[in-house]
Amino acid sequence: MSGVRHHLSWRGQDVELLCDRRGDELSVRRGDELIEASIVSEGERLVVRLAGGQVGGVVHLSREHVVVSYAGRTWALHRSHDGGAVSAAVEVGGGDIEAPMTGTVLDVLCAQGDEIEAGAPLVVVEAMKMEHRLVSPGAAKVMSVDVSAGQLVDIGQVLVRLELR
Amino acid sequence: MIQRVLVANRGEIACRIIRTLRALGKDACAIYSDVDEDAPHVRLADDARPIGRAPAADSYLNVVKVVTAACDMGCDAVHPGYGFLSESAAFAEACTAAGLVFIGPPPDAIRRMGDKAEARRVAEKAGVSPVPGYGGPDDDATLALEARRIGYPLLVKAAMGGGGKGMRKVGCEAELEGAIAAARREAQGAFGDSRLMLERYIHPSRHIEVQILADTHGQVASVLERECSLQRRHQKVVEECPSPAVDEGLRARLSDAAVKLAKAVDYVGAGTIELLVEEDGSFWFLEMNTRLQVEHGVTEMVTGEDLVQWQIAIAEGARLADGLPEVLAPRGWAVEARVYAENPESGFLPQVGHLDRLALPGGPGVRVDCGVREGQEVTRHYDPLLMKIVAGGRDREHARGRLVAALRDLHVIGPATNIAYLIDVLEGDAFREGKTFTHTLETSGVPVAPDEIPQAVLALAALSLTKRGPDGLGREDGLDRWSPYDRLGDFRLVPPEGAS
Repeated sequence: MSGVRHHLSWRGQDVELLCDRRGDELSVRRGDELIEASIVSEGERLVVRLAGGQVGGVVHLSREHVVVSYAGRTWALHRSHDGGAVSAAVEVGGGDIEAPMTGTVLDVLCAQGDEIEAGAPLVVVEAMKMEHRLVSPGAAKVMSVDVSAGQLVDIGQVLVRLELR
Repeated sequence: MIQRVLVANRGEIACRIIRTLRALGKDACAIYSDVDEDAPHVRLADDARPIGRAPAADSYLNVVKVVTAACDMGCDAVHPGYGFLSESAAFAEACTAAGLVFIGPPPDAIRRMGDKAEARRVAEKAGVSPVPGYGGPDDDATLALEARRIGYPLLVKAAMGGGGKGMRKVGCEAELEGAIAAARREAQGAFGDSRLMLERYIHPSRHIEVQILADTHGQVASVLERECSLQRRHQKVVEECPSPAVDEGLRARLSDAAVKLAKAVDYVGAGTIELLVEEDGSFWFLEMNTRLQVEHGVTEMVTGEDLVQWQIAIAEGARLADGLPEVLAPRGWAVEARVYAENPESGFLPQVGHLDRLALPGGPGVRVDCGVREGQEVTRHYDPLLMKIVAGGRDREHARGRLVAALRDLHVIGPATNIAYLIDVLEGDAFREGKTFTHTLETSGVPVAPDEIPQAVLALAALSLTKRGPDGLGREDGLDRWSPYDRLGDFRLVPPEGAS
């Protein structure tokens, strides 16, 4: 099969697409999977007809991503420009508790060395005037607490490091 | 007659009020904080003034700045919208003192119904039972004693609260102390008043509210009920009008209670009486909101009335009898979904960021009240509500289908949103069967992110990568967002040589 190869990745998985477009017919091969699509519209909304019916969405292309909005969700596919293997975004270890958004730490409910159970409250973060309680994803030991009450934190900032048991 | 109105708000509700003002031929003036200089409500308005920094306390909540801006722009009236200063008696008084008509109820009614403990007493006197609970001196020891009397589970609520802020469900005595502390902090932060009250957690129950309109001549009309049982952390998610649980008999009893309550506080304007309704049709007074509600659009869809227009007409002295039908029966059905910048898959945390793309749905029976635009930054300073989609139809299923289709045709690329979650709720058995209770969403499981990419997404991604734009590239980041070549969609002109 001929076509243009696009190297993408999603959550660390390689998504390699071989795309062949002839007029309004588009075939997309991903590994053993073959998707045959008829192009219905290429306006602001892209619409294609697949075997299961017609689907539509909006796609935003940036240098780094192909972001597809479809059925209420967005899918950010990372683009690789060198055509080689894609280095996925650094995966955060399961034991790091990150600030889910920019806000203020209201309270720290754990201390270094604590042995905690799944669901144990760790940190309370306030954002948009609502309090959000971050809990442990599993039984764990608290390796370090990297914030204190009153501190402003950025989205993604590591608040607490855990070693999951 | 009112000529020029300051809309003392932002976002979708400011835009919605400005549209009615425009339809009435009245001038609409806006205010904006630093981060809102280019926001949709400012663009829509005839005139606008900056009023301070992004935090609401420095801008939209600052009475002096808001009143000064209204006077500066030569306004003769103020519409507060919902949230911000809409339930501030002090703001209503400041407007009146500055010679501005406050488009809302009298300060005394705002004050009495805003204090939830006082509202309970008003309801009792009017013969409408409040939810069993306690509203009085609120030191921790007294609350603990009263909690034991009421029994668990119960709710700790901010006495001056609303919108779910400063509210906590308490399952057992061990949780009480922590819940009181958290609710006090939230109440102080959100309302500047940390007083709390207690209510029995009535279960199972539906949240049903009655829209009322009251004129300055003593007439009060009930304008149907809305059901808003589908809530998450006490924030409404999906609302509808009428309620699938209300028949004509119950509607008459709910309306009668609402009208009595409004009369008990000499209410004027648009207001909402919130009730908890049990399966056997018995109901309890929850609270009264002395303002326009977020979800007023579903009422407008099935009555054909414009509630903002009525608020203004009432402020001008109009009589309800001159225009409002004596008996309002629902015409068809309407359902609303609230679209928030929040991530359902990470505990519904509010999301911020640049709105790269925004494509809105439309079509018969679909109303979009949107407060954001493509290219705008969604900040952490304000409520994460981006827009409301209301769909109406000949019956409930017709409206539901239209709303699902509209949500599937709504595209927001930027901050994460709850759109997929809304679709799941509307497609779920509980909503389809009308079995909606206040606990339904809390107990329906945690949304999880898909772990596979659907074929549709791969096909759309592939199409965008092979799309034949004038540059052969489609829309790349870095193109001029406002370039006409970039805005024509399917129909494109070929840009001259060298154009980006």
